[in-house]
Amino acid sequence: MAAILIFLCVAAGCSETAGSTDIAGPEDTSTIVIGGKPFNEQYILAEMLGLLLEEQGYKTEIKSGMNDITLYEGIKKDQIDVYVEYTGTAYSQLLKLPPLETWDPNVVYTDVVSGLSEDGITVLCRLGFRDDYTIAVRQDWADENSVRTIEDLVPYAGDMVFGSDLVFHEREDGLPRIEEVYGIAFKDVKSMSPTLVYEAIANEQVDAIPPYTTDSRVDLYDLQTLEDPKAALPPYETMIVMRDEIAEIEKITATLLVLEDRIDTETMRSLNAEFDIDKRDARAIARDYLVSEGLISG
Amino acid sequence: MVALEAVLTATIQQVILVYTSLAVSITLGIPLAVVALNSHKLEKIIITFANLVQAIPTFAVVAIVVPLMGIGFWPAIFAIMLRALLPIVKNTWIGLSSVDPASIDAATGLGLTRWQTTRFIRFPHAYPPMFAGIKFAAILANSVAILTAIIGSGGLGTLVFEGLAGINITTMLAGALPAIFIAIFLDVSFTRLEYRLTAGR
Repeated sequence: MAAILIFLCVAAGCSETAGSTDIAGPEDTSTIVIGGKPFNEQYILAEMLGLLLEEQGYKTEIKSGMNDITLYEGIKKDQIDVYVEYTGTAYSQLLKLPPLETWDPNVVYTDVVSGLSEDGITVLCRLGFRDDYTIAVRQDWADENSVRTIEDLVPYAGDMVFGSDLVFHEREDGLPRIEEVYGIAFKDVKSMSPTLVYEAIANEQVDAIPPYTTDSRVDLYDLQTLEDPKAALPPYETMIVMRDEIAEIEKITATLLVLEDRIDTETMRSLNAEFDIDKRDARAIARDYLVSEGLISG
Repeated sequence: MVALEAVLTATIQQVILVYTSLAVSITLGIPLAVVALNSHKLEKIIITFANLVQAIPTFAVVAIVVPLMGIGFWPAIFAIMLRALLPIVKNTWIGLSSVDPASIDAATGLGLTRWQTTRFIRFPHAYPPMFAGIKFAAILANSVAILTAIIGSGGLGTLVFEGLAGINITTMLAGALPAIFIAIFLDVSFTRLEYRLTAGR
């Protein structure tokens, strides 16, 4: 019994001291905690923020693989310092604002900036690219039936199965919005993990999917993305958000502002291709990009 | 390729997560079992509560912690602890309470106090189920610590989820293989500790 207790005390003692240096460092202002979500560009962009700050002598810690709500809670509770968010996500998922009649990206952005500021979150800048939801169908089928827009899809939808990620078919700014605006109704909706929708459409288990516009797998799997002439889907402009205390540190804001309007959708798409298709390490992709842009020394 | 440094950092974080949460669970769990042994009222409350907590899906436990405690190391420890506590409490309690009443009577007859009976008669008897519970809790803690990556705990889960996001087998394995080794090590080390404690008898 005594042996167990001693063992426990030692084990607990060791792990607590080690824990404070290795993991629980958000109180230490010299370590910047960067958040990230569990998909391609989020891993790459988090590493970019990290590399830029490290170049200025900051210690960084990347908490990747988190979701919209946990990041939002984390930044509100000062446990996350900075991460990359999307205007559309912040608008509907975080701030829970009602969908707009017509989605004007600048209106969404302004509403998001003022909404987040009430939570003590500063929007530093937009990165330049949008990562919207879009609707995609198989290329050969689209050519056969000359389908190029969501409107063209309406007569066929009754026979089509829609393969959704885990949220798109339920979000009021997602599939329900498309159904309302275009008067379209799919035969069935199947939801699955976002990485699986591509396999599903390639294997003809579903007929339409909602890829992100920066996802290179649209090309890899020979898909046709459809235009959204009635602007039913909200804009997802990428932006750097940080908590107010961090935004007051000029050295940090100046360091990260170099990314403002620097990355266009094509660039992000090709960086994502390195992650999804070439299976490269996110940090290596981020470093190569920043070096090629002359933002950090190799 | 995954940088070796990233794998090492994640592995160290994983080990710290598992051992800290396990230490907390054991220091809470064993006394709770002793308390349950000595009071019928508390026994009902403790065992029912432990069962209820165990019935919540692991994913939900991890998510529920966020609005309460936020993200990071300690919320993760709390989530893992909720999962690891039941096997320890329940198995220890079963071991302590299933001692042959005749042994207890004999001990009382020899003049042992209640505490002495618990310490010298009940506990040695309870070691096998207790250690089975701790070992099970350790393996559980190790797997839940993978999942807590989604609330920013660090650990090997970060690699597993990154690998999943890009369907990158190398990254996935870089997270999964060390986790398997940690699980094996946990089992072996607690088996040894149990052997040491019981061999002296």
